[in-house]
Amino acid sequence: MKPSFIFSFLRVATGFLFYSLIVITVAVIVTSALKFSGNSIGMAKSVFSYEVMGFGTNNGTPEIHYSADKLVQYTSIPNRYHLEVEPASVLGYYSFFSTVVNLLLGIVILWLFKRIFSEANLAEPFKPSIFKRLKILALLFAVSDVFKFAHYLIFSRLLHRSISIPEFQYITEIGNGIITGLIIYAIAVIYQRGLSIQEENALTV
Amino acid sequence: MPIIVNLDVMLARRKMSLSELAEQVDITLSNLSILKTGKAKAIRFSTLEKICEVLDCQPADILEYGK
Repeated sequence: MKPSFIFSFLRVATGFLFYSLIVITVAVIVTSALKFSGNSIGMAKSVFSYEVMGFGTNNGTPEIHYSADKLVQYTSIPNRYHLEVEPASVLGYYSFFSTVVNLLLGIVILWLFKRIFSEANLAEPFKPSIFKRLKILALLFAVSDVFKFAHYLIFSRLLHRSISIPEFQYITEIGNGIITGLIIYAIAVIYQRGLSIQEENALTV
Repeated sequence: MPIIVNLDVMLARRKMSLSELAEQVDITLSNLSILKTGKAKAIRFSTLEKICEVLDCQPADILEYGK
């Protein structure tokens, strides 16, 4: 596959994802605003839902099932709950805030990717603006993990106020953002070296 | 940079213009300007050889180390 084709595809894909996320963000904000004001006729009652683990109750040992050929074993996950949060509540307002922050972060990340791919030119691959954007991207990915961790702490605290037993723990993955951020930062450092080599080459007579 | 390019001095001595030199050395005028103004980060031996050949001089006549 030609690199120019891959770049064109990435340009279109990031553009599409960027505008889609803007539409989704606007839809979430409008839907939530309608729910907060109580004008949610014909809409599902709740906007925000979460998967949580519950501790402090004993539901017994889960039953083990097998496939017909006995090659696959499966069990249900005990103490796993699906939460739906009432929008017009402290948890609802907080959920709205954290959702919007995450969506905005996603929009900024996609915008940066979109700019990088639109500025990328195989004839002159190294540009200072792309290096700058790569560094910002690395930082944003790391920040997204900090947000996730803060969200985990705040959400668990607010939830514990409403329900004390079982003690719910919000299921989330923390660490991916920092790893992605570090990888992008490493790419940015290599890119910076490429940039200086390109500059040196241009100033060699 | 402590490396001083005396290309303009040599051009004046040989009564040659920069564009004439560019033409004879077969490099672009912009590249030669980069060298003349001291903005160049490196010079190829082949370029230096051609310049010396055209200007009938030594590399030390063009490049000088100054503190």
